[in-house]
Amino acid sequence: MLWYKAWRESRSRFLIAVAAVSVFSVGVLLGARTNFPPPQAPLLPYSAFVWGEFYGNGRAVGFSVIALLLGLGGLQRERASGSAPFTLALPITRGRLVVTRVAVGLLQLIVIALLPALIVPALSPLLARHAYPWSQSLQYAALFMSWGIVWFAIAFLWSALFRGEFTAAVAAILTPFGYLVLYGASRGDQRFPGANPFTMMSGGLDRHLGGRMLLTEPLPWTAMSVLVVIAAALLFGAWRMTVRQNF
Amino acid sequence: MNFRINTTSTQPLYLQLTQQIRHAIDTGVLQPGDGLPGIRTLAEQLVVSPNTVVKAYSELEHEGVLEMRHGSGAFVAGRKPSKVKSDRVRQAQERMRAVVDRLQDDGFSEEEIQRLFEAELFFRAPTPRR
Amino acid sequence: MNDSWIIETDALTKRYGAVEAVSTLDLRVGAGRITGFLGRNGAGKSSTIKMLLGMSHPTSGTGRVLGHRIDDARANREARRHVAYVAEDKQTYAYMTVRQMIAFTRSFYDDWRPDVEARLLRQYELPIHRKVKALSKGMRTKLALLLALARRPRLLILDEPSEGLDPVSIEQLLQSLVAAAADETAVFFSSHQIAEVERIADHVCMLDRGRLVLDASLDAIRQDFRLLEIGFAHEPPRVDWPATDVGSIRTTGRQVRILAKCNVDAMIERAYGAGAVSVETSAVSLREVFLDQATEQA
Repeated sequence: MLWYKAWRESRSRFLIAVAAVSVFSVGVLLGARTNFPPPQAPLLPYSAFVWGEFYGNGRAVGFSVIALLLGLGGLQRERASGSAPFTLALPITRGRLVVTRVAVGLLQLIVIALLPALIVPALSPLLARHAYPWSQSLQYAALFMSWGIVWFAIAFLWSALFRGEFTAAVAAILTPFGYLVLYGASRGDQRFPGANPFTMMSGGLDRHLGGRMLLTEPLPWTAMSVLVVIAAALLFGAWRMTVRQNF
Repeated sequence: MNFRINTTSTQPLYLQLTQQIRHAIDTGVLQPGDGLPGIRTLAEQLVVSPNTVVKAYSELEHEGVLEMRHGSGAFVAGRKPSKVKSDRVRQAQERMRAVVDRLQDDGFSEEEIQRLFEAELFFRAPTPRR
Repeated sequence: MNDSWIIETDALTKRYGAVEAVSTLDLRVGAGRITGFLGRNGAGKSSTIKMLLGMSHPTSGTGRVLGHRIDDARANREARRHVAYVAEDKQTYAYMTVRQMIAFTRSFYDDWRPDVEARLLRQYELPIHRKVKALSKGMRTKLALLLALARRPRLLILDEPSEGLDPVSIEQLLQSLVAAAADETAVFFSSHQIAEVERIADHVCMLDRGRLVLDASLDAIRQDFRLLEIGFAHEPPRVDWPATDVGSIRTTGRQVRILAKCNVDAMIERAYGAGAVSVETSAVSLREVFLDQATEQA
């Protein structure tokens, strides 16, 4: 029943995120009846409108925050609430605890990434009276997930390192900012545009992302693989740390 | 069966228990053939380690005061003489009563019945027991 | 290492920075008995228990629980399948209900006993639909006890189990420990309540400043341990008492007080032989032994 425990410990965050994303998505589509096309840009394509509402920079940040929050929790958090000795006395390895939390967290993240990816193409014809291709929304979901797992892994690692509920959360939220500060300071935009998470998540690596904001090139598999490897390395680090810790 | 264990005493608990069991037997509260509580039951009742009860019973068994019957637990050693004897005696008394009643029904007096018994026992040829 | 020890440690050491919480500990806890684990706060009891359960890693030395090494994650996990533990904090998952906690815990063990679970639920009067966070401290303790006692483990480790319980509940707890022992579960419990230990423990191990200072059966303490007050008419001479026979020696002025563990008669003779003018013997209670060993200079 470790899955149940991991689920219960992340349930609130997850359900709130699901509710927020669902309500937001449906709300945008409903509002599209009156808000789209905007008066100042009457020729704006629907796909560009969708991009602005769902995949633009702001939304990528929002998804990143959700990914970070889902990565929090674990034994150090239990230490603060006092149940760590109980959990540690169970006849399971610490690795199993880690793996279960990672699995539950990533599944939750996938669900959240898929929500707009499914809602937008499915309900656009009905609510916004325009069509939106499935392939686009699913590709954007994949781009979101590629950085999403990295954010998740970072928060997971901070959670393994820091005791207590809030230290890890604060460290997690600050990490993207810290990263972007470094990125900007090293003029990353000019040298490694692919290393800007929000650029990549918003499809900015696609050189043919024109006015329609539709992805035309294949997904940046290399960059995405690198991110998967980075996330795996961070999770591995968290696992090693957890196994070696003294409680 | 109520025993009292004093944990602040400097006498080991199992020895306190053996003393109290012996005392109960000596005073007749526990009689030969009586069963003592099982190890687990007594331990839980007194709230002492089962080992305390085990040691007490073992020591008393070693002394011959208790006998451990496999599967049934501990019993106070020694046969119950009264019960066995009284049964036989009671049966014999009943048979005697029946015989005397019949003789009296046939008109014999008590003295005559007594003479008959004495004669039978005195002049009894040794007959093989059936 | 001997197979018949339920717990054994070999020079087990735990250092936190400059402090040695546990110091080259050679602990031996036997199967088939109830062992009390005594010591002042900070003596190293909890640190030892944590290492035995794999919660913290020894700085040096090793140990075995049920024959499995404690410093090997997989071996220790195997041991934990047969160990039930009640932590000092007795905290479980605040967001689960009593029933959910029972279902959760039950799912990890083969030795669960539904009949004992039902009996303890009734006895402790635990509200099964209430969340753990809404339970009083006493109820939380009882839940933690139930989760450990509704099993048939080979070893039961409890850290201050009676803390926060009222006398009736303490009595029920001690009865449960006795019942567990009758079911061939080795019981190892740390406690500050000397009276409880005196009642149900067969054996006692005591730590002071991370070291084992006492390892004796309660029978031996009651029957053999004696306090000798030896009086001299002059400066007490130096006597080499055999270390294994002596718990402590304290000299004040012309009086020497010895806590003797065995061979008391021989010691008395020796004292007189060394010129003692008076030797008084008295039996010692576990509390007195504890206080004596706890303040003994290293």
